[in-house]
Amino acid sequence: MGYNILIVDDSAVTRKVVRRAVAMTGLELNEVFEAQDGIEALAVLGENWVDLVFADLNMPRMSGTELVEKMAEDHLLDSIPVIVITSDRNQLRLAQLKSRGVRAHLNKPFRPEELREVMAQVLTNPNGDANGP
Amino acid sequence: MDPENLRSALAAAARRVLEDAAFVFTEEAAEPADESAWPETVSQVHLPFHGPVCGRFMLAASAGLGDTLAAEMLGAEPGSPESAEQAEDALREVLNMIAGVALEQVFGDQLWELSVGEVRRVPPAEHRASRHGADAWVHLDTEESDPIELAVYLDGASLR
Repeated sequence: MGYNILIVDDSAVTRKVVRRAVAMTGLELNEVFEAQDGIEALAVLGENWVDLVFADLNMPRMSGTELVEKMAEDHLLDSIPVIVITSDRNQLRLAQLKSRGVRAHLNKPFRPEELREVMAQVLTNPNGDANGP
Repeated sequence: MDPENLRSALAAAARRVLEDAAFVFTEEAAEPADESAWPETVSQVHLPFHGPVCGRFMLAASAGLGDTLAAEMLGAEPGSPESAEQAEDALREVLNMIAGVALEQVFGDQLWELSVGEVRRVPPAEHRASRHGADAWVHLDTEESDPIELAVYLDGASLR
């Protein structure tokens, strides 16, 4: 049985880029879901088992930060790891997100091998910061 | 704040993002493109930002270059229905990435909020007029001689 992945980004181009990079990891995949904001993401999470979420931060309606907060409130972050993919490079904001339970981040633009490395670390190591030393 | 520092950071960020995200290689031009270098319509993306300084970024390109960017990012054929449909989204996303890199380069590790980019289609003359009031302006040419122009407009804190 492969992994179920959820990609959350308001850019259809970026969702496709992440989908392609995920497909290139060689990891066994079952289903790849897409959502264009936090509200759609929560709907997907409510109806499907998801093993990993890739989330943008800067989105209309419900941002990635708000999505993470809601997932933390609902105890979803205890079982579903989140990797943030963002143009926002502020270390304080990323540290705050990780203190809430986000497992790793990738800066846009990213290389497919960077995504593969972070994704493998997150899925194989249930604890810890995948960007950490 | 040194205006030349802002301009050179914007140029470096744009060239890096275009190469890394879409394999589009560019050279910086000394002069802005004249109106004849543009097609009938210029796609401008406007991206407001808020933080220690507020303002907006602007990226201008032809719809054809948007199609090229989308095709490279999607792994599609240039001119395909898929790349044509996503051309404006690709321009928005590229500017979002450029803004993230440029803000970090110029201002360091400070907190910023980037809004969602808005696309406007304008005639070349109107695009040319948008140089007025820009605090930094960058002109790049792709290997196929397609122009890309970027600008930063700062609210209430003109560098000039």
